Amino acid sequence: MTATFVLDGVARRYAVPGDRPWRRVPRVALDGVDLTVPAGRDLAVVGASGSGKSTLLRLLLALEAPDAGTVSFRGETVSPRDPGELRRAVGVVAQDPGSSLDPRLPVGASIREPLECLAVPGDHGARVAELLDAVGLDPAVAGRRPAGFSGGERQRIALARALAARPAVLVGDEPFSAVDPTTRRRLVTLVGDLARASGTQLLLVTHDLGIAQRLCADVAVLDAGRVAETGPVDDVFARPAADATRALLDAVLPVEVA
Amino acid sequence: MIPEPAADVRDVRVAAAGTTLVDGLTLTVGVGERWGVVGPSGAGKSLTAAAVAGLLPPGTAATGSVRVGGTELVGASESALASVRGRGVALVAQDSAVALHPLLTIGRQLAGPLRRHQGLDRAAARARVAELLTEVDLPPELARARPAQLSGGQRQRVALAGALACRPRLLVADEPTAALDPPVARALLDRLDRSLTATGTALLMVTHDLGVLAAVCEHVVVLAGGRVVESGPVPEVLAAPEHEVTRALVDAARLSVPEVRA
Repeated sequence: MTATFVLDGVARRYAVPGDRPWRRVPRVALDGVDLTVPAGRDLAVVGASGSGKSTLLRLLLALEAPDAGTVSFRGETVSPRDPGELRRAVGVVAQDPGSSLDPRLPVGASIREPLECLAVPGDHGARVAELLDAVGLDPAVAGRRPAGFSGGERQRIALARALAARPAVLVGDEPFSAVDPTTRRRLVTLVGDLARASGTQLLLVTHDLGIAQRLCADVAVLDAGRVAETGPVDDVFARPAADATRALLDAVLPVEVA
Repeated sequence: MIPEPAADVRDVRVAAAGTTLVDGLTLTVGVGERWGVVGPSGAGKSLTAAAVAGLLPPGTAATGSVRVGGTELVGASESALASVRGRGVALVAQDSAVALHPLLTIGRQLAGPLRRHQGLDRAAARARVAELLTEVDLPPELARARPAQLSGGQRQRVALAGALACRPRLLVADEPTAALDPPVARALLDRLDRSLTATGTALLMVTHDLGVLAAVCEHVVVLAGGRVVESGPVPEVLAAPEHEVTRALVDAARLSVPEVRA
């Protein structure tokens, strides 16, 4: 079976602020990443800030081209100019629903947008109502704008939009980090249930090792622009082989007082 | 003589646009004690921190009493508040990328409160800035850097150094690690713990992360809808939460702790 994503020797550099406000210095964000995401295996990508998680995601989504190496989706090399079937097959939930939803559009129109852009056949109005119901919102709210919703509700709307065109893969970029813990717990359950029910493969970038373990079978640990370790999440957390993995596990703050 | 507590909060109410957001908060933070304020979004946590720091935003009105080191903050003039800042109470905000001036060097920003509140001259302030940076495990050369050159964790250390510069009785911290990734957050909390011990400063910390609470605080108040629904020693409240809001917070926090089966 063809892998969902394959990264082969992928590198990416950026210019970052230097010692004066107007100066920029180069920084290596990804430094020769090889990673295979098999079809049907939910993957969590974890790592410290600056390890390259967000860059990896932008390259996987063909929003940027690598400086070296190739990114392929289902066996086809993808790039911003030629994303192939990627846009149709992948739905994305961003970190901050406050900025990822268009503030001028009623939320129903935001959810409907991918159906129209991708010319998905069927009754779009009925699909929007079905999606709102699936994420636990009253379909009657479709006419309201994002400002009228809480952060957790907006993230449910973003999830409905990401799932609208029945993608094969749902990509989340820290989708749970901007909401409070009680809301987060409900959202995590909802994402897990919806992905399982629709057979959607999850690719989740997160800081939260507990959520990575609950939602995904596999984990890839990034460190300083390289893949430090990858494997089944329970094995990697029980027997970490890389220092970067141990550092992440050591940083988990227990809820109980010792 | 019983020493004046670090902060004595009596029946504080904060309202904005006719809505009561903090509804009768009473809390005493003893000298050197560490209190956490937890609760769901919209519970009134950040406004509580702002009221205790004397930094309520425009458009809010407070009643009741907040005494820090014997000075009443509710209804105080700007000059009275200025006299409490630095030595009485200092604040570390969630995101120091916003709290720090983007164009000024770290050294100038840290020297400001030293010159204002402690009357240090330029040379003395510069020497003290180097000490303060060293105290939070940053190289003194960082005084010449600007905020954009620093990582999020380094910026929060700078904010902590600035807040503790004048040895306040009370540090108010509003989600100081929410913008940091877990390893950096853990290192900042260790630093905070040691700095508070070294300076004898009391802490009032707002957080929605019970792991952060357990790592630093001795006492906790749980807010919901602007009211205290539960309070007590941290180990007892986490082990046996009584209110449903507290129970939901404990359940939600456990989600973020991976299970490691050997």
